[in-house]
Amino acid sequence: MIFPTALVLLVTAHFGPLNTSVEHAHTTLDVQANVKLVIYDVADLLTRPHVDFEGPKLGEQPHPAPTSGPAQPQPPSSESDPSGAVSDGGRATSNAKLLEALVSKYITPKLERPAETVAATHHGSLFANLRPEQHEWLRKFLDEQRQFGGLIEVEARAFRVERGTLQKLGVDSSSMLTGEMERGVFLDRVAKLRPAAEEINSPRLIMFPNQRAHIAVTTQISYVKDYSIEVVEPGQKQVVVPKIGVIREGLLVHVRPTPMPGDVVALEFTCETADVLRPISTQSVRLEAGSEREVEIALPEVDIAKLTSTVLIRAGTSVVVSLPTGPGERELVVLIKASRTTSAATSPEGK
Amino acid sequence: MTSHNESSHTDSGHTDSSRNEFWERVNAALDARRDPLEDARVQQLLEREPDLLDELAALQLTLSATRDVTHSASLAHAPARRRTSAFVGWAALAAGFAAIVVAARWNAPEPRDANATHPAPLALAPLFAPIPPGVLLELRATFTRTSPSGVRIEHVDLVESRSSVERRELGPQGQATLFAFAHHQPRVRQP
Repeated sequence: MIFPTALVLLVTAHFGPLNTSVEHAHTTLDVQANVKLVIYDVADLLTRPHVDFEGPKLGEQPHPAPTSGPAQPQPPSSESDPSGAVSDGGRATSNAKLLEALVSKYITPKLERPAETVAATHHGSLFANLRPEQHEWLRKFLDEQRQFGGLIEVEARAFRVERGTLQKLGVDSSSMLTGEMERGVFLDRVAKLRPAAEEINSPRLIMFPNQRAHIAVTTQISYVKDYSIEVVEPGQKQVVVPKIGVIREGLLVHVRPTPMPGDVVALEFTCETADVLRPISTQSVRLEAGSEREVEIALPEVDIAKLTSTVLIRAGTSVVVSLPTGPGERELVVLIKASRTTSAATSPEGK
Repeated sequence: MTSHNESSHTDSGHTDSSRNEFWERVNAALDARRDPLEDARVQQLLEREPDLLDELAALQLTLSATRDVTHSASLAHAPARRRTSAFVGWAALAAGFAAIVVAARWNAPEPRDANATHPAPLALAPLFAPIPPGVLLELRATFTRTSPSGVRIEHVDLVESRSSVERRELGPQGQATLFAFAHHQPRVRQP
């Protein structure tokens, strides 16, 4: 009785893994048969001027504190010449990375298997190991990038409302407003809110496709974070020197619009708020061990809320997103609208 | 004084007739499966009475939601005629509901205090549709609280329906004393 049981187990153990390996081989062959390598010439897309405007960092600032002047454009690559201008090679490299990232992010159907890869080189070649339907999407995407000669206008309106007010506005935590009529209804409801909504900002950005830009409404507060004792001349005097910390609080919105086939805009955006909890707590500390002298330092707490989203919307469509923010029962509501515009229709003031 | 009363009476009558005409034309357009906003007269009446826009938007969203329900029902292999009659029935029901809501708004007393909370119409249910999953590729939130004693970071991925909490506590000299990480899935705070 033991012998037949052992034989059955042996046969099962033998044929089980064998069948699995055959099926696995079939699957691998199917994937490899479906996936096809096509090299696309994208050199024309990599030579386009492209500057990303990075916003300031919210929260605790690195020491020494930066000046509160307007943010400067950050070249996307470190390959810049001493004069500060981005070299052609650096621009091509950064554009290749960006194109590769955009294709990998938005390709439909999504990249699911290890065999499906996309890689762009700064020489202007895009190596795409993809299924036929993915190649079809990629061709349309690249055509759209070439044909789109206009600009993209992004309008963002940020409100701070009482928590729980979204339901009164007819919005769940996020909503899509498909036209001007719905947008008008939403804004009308915001205007009728009691207590009134606080409109933080309502700027418009007119951007090149795939450009990253930001809207920042910030303030800086300074506080004494520590003290040190310095010995100065003449007389080897000891002086107490405060160390000043700086916190930047406010609102920061980052946006990167990408034109997509079919009058669609892929809108990648980040809303970030930073609030210092008030009143700021303080603590008395001794200047040095054994000393009786006490000084007061501030111990600020900072709340940072950041919401990152990517949506595919038809031109002219608005998106409402919200996030709880800061101390108290407040909520940030951001209404973002993207629309395509031509270069000729853009007034210089609007940029 | 008399002329003022007559004038306001005339305005009120004019408003009522405009509203009646507006809803007649909207209903006629919906019956004919046309977009009411393409009707020039509807556009004129909307310019005259902007409040009607709010009510029309509520009606259209209710109808579109009803269409989705009907479309889902059609997937259950219902006959075509039955689907059409179901659609008309749902649309009539939705239109009736919208009419009741509109009538209730007209009959509702005005708030006595200008600072009183203004009730939004259809406040019980979200009026605007949520972002459809197909177009929402990414929605993540990060909440960070920084204090001299450490950092607490909460990540919430609303598309992947997962979240995590990370804590880093610092000692008096700023040295790390604790690092904790917890992963949750799913989370209540969903879009």
